[in-house]
Amino acid sequence: MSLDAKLENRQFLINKVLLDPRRDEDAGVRKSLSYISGERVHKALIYVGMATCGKVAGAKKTFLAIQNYLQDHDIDVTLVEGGCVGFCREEPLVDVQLPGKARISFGNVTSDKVQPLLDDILNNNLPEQKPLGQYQNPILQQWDGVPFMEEHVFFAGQQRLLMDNCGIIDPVSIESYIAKGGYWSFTDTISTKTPAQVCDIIDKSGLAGRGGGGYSAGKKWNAALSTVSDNKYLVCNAVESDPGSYMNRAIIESNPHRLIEAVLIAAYAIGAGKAYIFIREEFSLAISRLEKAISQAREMGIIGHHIFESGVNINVAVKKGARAFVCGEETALINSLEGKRAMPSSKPPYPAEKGLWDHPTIVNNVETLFNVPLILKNGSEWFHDTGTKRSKGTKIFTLSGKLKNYGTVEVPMGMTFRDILNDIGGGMAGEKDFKAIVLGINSGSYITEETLDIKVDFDELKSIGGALGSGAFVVLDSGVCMVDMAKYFTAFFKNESCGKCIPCREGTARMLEVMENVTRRPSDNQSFQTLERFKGVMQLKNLAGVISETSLCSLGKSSPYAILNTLKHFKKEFDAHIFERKCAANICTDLRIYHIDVDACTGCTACFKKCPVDAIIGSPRYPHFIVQDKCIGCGTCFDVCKFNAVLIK
Amino acid sequence: MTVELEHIFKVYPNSKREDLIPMLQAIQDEQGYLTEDVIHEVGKYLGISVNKIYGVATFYDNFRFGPVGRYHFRLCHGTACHVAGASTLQKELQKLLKINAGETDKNGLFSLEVVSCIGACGLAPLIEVNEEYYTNITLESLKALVDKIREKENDVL
Amino acid sequence: MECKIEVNHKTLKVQEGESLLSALRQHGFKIPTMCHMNRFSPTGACRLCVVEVEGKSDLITSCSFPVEAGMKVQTNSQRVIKARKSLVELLLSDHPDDCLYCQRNGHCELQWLAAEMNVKERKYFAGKQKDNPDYSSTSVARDPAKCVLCSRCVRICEEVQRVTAIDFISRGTRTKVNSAFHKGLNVSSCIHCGQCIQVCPTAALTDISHLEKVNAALGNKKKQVMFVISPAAIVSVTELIQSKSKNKVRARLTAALKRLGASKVFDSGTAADIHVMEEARQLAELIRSKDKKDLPLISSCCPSWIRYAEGFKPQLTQHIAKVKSPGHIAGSLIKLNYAREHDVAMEDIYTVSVTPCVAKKYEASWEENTHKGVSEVDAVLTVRELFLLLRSFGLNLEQIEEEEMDAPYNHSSAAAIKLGYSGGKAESVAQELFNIMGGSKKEAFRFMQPKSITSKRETKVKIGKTQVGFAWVSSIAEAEDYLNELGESKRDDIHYIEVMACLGGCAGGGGQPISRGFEQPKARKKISVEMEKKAAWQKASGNTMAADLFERFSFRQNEIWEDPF
Repeated sequence: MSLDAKLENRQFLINKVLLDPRRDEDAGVRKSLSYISGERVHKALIYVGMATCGKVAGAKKTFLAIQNYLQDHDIDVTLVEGGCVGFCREEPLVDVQLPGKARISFGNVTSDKVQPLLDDILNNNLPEQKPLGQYQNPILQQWDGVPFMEEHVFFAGQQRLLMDNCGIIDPVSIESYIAKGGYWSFTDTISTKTPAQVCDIIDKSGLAGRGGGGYSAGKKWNAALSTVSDNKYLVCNAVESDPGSYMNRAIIESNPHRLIEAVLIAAYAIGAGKAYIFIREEFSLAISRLEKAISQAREMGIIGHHIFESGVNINVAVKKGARAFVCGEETALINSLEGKRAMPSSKPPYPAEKGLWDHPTIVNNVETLFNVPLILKNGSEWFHDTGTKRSKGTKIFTLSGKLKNYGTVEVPMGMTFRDILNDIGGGMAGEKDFKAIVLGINSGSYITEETLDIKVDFDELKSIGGALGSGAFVVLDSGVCMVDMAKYFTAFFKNESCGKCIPCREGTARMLEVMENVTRRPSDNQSFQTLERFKGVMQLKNLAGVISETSLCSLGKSSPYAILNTLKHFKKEFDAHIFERKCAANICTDLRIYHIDVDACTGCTACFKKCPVDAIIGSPRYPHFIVQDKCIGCGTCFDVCKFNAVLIK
Repeated sequence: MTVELEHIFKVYPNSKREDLIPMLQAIQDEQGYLTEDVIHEVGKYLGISVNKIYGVATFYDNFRFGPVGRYHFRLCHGTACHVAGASTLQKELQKLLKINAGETDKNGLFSLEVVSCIGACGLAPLIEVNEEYYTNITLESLKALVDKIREKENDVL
Repeated sequence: MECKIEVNHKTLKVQEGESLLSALRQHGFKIPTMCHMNRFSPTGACRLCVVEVEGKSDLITSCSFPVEAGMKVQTNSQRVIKARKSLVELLLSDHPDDCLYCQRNGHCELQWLAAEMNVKERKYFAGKQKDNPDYSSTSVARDPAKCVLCSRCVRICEEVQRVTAIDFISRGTRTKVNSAFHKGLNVSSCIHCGQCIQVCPTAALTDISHLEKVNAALGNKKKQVMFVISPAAIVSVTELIQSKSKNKVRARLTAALKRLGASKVFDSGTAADIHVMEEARQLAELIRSKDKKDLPLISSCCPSWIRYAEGFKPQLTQHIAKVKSPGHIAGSLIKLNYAREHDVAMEDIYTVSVTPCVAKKYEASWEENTHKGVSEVDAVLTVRELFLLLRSFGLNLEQIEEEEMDAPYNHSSAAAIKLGYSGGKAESVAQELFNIMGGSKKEAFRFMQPKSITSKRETKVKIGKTQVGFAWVSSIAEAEDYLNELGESKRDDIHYIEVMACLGGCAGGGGQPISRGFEQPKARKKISVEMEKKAAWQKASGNTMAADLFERFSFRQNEIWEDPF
């Protein structure tokens, strides 16, 4: 587009769209927006899903292959480095939109599949590769015999309020974002509502923190608004260090402008002139897209001084956080922003009264903020339409582990975990049985067979002694050892503890020692050690209460639950480890002692050849021997032996 | 000063405490790691005790005080990767590379970092080497990858 | 504003907004703490002060929670007691088990807590941590294995002493208190004030002990061990003795040390008087000179302050008075003057300084304080070490005879005694200045004390024709703020500044017996004032021996040290 055309476009978007509340009523405006947003195209559009999950799956190579193809064939097509629609199993995803025709999506398009795909589709023919689906739209011509994406089992159960633009729009096109309704909430809000009114709307909507805390966002904002101060700060918590969660990063990479809009509205609501987006420094793609989006918004006058003559001054900056899980705790985050060690501070005083540099500060999670422009646009009553009595709106989960359809999904509060697993998630992958779903690491919850029918709801999860967490959703099958999982989580907490308070610093270390004792390689003195292990586990139960009641922050408070919940739901596995020294799932490698039965062994050397660590010694036709010190307990020899000569003790 | 940092200091003309972490990040991005000299210069510029700066830098996982290898391995050990066997892979990788997590080998060829959650959980277990991703790795594919690198490096030498 | 709260089912009246901990303690409730320090903002790190508050699901740390009208608190419910005991057990879990060999055996806060909580078994056996002790410094010994990470030393070094020689390194269970790159304290920015030792609850921070050296010297027949006791040390010992013997401390201490094998016990007061006279002389010189660039004159008896100035404010070193500290004037008097007059070889004398200062151990190692390899002061014993020494020899100051201190250094004026607390030095120097620059020859002389704690410690005195300004600051924070302000405002009405690195002056010195809280300096000052009333002379020049020596020899420190005798 020429510079003049660009400026004209911009003026149109500002004057006719952002600043005109009756934008929707003009058919001409609507038509222009339809083209600017990408709903309709003048020329063909190819959209490659290139969020981090896509890149890991090879989307970069796919993109280059497409670029080369277009160059070689001298075809003029709009090629977009897109965001993530959430269906990570199908990455790399390529969408094609021909003028007048519905947008059609293809999955698993590795670079070798590019040529045959484009040969056909760019000539209006359905290629051999079966498409994933097409997007429903009455104003565009549908492809014959192609199912609708919206009816795909992965998408049918979702309610995509927050992720509506993800994987659809160009993340770094402010024009597309505005054309699709973006920033309308912000400009309408600052011209028609006072900060107090905004806080009130959010409070009435029942929006609760999505980072795991579940506190009322509106109440927090009101507290900050009512604290008198010259300087106030809005901080967006994009640390996301919970292993198993990556939805915040995915939605920032796919729709950074939504976050900026949310941050602006939130800053306005509490009276803050400065907003910081504190994001983990490893999220380089998210950071670069966010920074580009911020400069676009600034250029358009949406960020800065006297925004659209309203008298409102808000500045937004990205701050790259150094890596520590504890930075996700709001007071630790504030300390890190101030250039200190990320140690949490005592509350009271709460950040809303005394936060960043002792000024009123609100720290909100990314997903929580993504709800804000929608609530302001549609009203708090609208928000009540989705969800349960106590938990309004939707929740984004990142599905992973042993299920078929993994990716990022958005479900209404009130959906059962069973439905998420079996409908959206496509059910278990592989032949093993379902064992548990692990939610966010700070939630302390397992969903087991008995609780699969509970709903996604803050209160229901509280009733089973857990919490919703950040949105991680890792599915475990019977091949997973729960004692090992408990050890893994405890080790995680011990490693990430900041070390400030005694219960967490010492407590997590002591708990880990107990778990390591339980999974340690057995030696000769059996019974004395059994008693030790048992005693250790019992002591742990006592200690767990103290740790969770006295820890300074939620990291310490939730650290004992990994073990406690495993003890509660999977006591049999624990007992087997302690008393019988057996790991049923065969995961605890130290408890696996493989040895070769010399009578059964024929000396075929199959195990000798396959052992990945050369722990087996022997010559052809002589019985082989496993060197225990070298053995890692992987079980390969057990698998390959045709003579059942490899035994597990 | 023994290290050239003026161009980085210029970005932070008002030298405040909150510039400490961004400054250290910028220096590490450019030079690969932090040194004693760097800490002293930053301390002088910001007017902060060297001991405090060292305390801040050692709190976080990403600051290094030594270089990484020519091939920097980042093994993901998030929940999904753990379930997919990352523990065993880590032990194996440590043996293959002949170093422990967090170390660089004597020749500066390999270094290993264990991170919690790269964020591609469906493709677990995975590893990143110099910004190239290897997904659904197994003991065999890991061994093959390391062997390939060793071969390549020996050829060059 | 007052309000009512309920504690253990009793209604109490408290001040709204104050911390729950201080309200509870004021009413006599016993709440254990570890990381808490009076006058410092609470961190909530140790969690020992937890209490149960109705309506809160978790336990609350009383140090950081403000009182709210109508709150209902339980300070000793089962839940609270169990939590506190578990926390102490956790602390003990990776603490070494060597109480019997430990310097703080018998007065260690962790021991006290374990006893209070009735801890009777070792519940947890953690892996041994590889923590080597650091004895590199001349003054402060570190044993990280005994550290409970209470943060008190870090805070006092940063907030009160503005040095931050040590800080928290790393994270979680790997956290350590150390200086950057784990180097020894001797190469860090440590100013040897020893305030960290004063606040450390365990033996993680202690003196570098000179007891072995002193014992060896006492047992060496060839050495003549000569003790030099500073008046401030007498004050500290007096504070700990029962009332009957209070005014006999000097005499009893002398007797005790003689029993140990000391050949002489001197008073460093004479040297202190000489020091004061020299500083006053230099001040008078500067005031009379046309060139005012070296004003104000800053006191030079605090080695910690000198170390701070050299390291952090080198531009101020030209202002520091050019005279040795009293301890080293005493040392050089003994080893050079006394030795010659009594025909004793310098190498056969072993001087031991007894002082409430840890930095003196550092000062003794300075090159300018040694002559041909022989130090002026061979060993420095803090008051703490003095008590250990006496106890180990079975000597009890309550029940021992009296003996006079040895001539010729056995007297001190009130001026010398005043050096032991903040403001005293400036007063003594002012008194001497009267002598030199004319004006009425006042015998007893006291500054006008500032009205409140926050007002500046300054006063103006008309001496002769000049209005001379004196200031006194203690703790580096106060010193730094004052000096910065003085520099920025370009005032020229302050001519002398007394700087003491320890809060309260030597009365709060790093070598004093360890006590929690900051009330001791006041008590010691009171004792000092009583002692001053009984002194033979009020001003420094009144001390005839000191005046005579001052007349005969020059005590001004020049670039190259010269034997003044």
